[in-house]
Amino acid sequence: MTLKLDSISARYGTLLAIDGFDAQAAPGRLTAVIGPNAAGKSTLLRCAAGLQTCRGSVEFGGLSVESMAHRDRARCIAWMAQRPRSDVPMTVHEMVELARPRAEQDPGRCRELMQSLELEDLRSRLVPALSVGQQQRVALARTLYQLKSHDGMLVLDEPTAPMDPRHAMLAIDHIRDAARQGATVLLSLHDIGLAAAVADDAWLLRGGRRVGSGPVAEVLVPGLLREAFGIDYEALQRSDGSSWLAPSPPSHGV
Amino acid sequence: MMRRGPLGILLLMVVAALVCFLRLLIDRPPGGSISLAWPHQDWMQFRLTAMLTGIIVGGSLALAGALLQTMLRNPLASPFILGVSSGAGLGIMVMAWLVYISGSPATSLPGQWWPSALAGAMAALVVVYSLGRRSGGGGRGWLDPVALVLVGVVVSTICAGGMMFFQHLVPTGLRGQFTTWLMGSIPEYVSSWRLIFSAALAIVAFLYAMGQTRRLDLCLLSDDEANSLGVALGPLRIGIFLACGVLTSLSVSLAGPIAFVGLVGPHAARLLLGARHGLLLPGAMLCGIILLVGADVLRQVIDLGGGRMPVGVLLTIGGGVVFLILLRVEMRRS
Repeated sequence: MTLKLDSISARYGTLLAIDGFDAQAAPGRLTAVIGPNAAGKSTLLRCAAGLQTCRGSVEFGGLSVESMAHRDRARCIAWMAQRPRSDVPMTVHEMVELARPRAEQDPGRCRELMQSLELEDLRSRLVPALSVGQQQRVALARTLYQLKSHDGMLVLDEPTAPMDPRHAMLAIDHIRDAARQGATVLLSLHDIGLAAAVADDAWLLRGGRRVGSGPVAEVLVPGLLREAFGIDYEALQRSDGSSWLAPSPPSHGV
Repeated sequence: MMRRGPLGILLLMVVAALVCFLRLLIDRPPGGSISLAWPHQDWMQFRLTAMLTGIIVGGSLALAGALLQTMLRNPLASPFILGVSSGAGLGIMVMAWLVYISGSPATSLPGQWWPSALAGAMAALVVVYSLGRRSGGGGRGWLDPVALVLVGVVVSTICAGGMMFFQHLVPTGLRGQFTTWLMGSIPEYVSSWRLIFSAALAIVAFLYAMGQTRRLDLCLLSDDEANSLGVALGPLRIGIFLACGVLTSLSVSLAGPIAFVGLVGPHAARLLLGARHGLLLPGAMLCGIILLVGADVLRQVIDLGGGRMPVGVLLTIGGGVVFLILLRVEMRRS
């Protein structure tokens, strides 16, 4: 199902965090939300997930997200916080199970997710006793387990930030897999190179405004990235012929 | 720590039953020694009333404490520390004063004024919740654990001052009846209808809370996480706070403001049974019963020469020490 954001604006008191943002995210595609610190990425994701009051309209599958009943929204939109609460004295397994009501539990799917995200050995450990990266994987497993059908939406706020590279790629594989199966996926990332490599589309923000949106090849280009971040990016060639976006080294008075 | 799940509940039920049985049997006549014997028929009613009151009050306070700790995400929360008990007490004292100045005959005090206790408890809870919440803009306010406790302590102090003020305004005879109640004591005579009414309220609040166990589990996460997992926080908060107000006010109207039980009962249950509310809530109630009825048994043993110590005094001293330990742990953690 398609996510449509139409002229949305969101405020924190007098601070305008999102200013008239329009964009669409298509099902089966992974859309990366990119921008500098305080660009409004997290606020935009919270608006898309129906967690933040905003002006304008947010529709998912033709239905207004804001007017959905909490329970119905939870069945089709799964959101993952940038910093999930980690001091909850529950075991890893209990925490993942929390994603669904008792009547909707699917032990096979739960076990499969825990195994593939390498959490099975930690299932009886208490979440507060885990490392930050492990806690983030638990939160990702819970978010993926929340969606019962493949036509829902995943909204992920920097899901891989505290993970080591191997587990970050494992997480990205799961997220891409969800998109391949038909989910609409929205995720914010700070690693432009990673976003360019794994995402299908990108939304580029600065100061709550849209700098660009569309296929990655059209949005994550040096000109727009300079406009968003104020620094130069260059495409580095890898041995397999593909390219990787990286910030140019600063030129000290040359 | 190994969690015992349903077996833990069974263990708590056995201990609670033993403590209650002990309360029926234990006897120490003034100046005499302790004995355990089935009471004479004339005394049975008094001991049974004290035991049942202990069960209702202990279970209610611990359940209210568990619900407050979850809804406020604060391990230091309890009806006593957040001023809810004092608010209920103030409600009763205001009503006592109004009855006195209206010239109506003041009969069995103070339990008959439960509605005014509920009004006081809810007012205190609303003030503490509103002032303990920091604004974050866009509806993203958050509860500061330390600010919440500080506001609770201040509200509790103000309400305690108010109680003393209104106690001072009523005649000496009436004042004497309130003094024992203010210390927190389990009465040995309560009318049957009041016990039945209080038990019915506690059962309704318990059943309501048990119907919300998954939502309460989700409330341990952040507001946004709970919301995204399908919890409508506004209605749930109103329902749970109302349940806490009912449980605290019925306890205060029966036995006065009693500390410790609402704080430690839930912690003990959490250590034994884990954080999932399906087991935690009944476990907390059982721990509360064990603590309060157990303390009532213990006070029969302590002879300081000036009559038996009110159970509230015993629990306040013990509760103060446990609160300081928990506060220290919380400060280290944050």
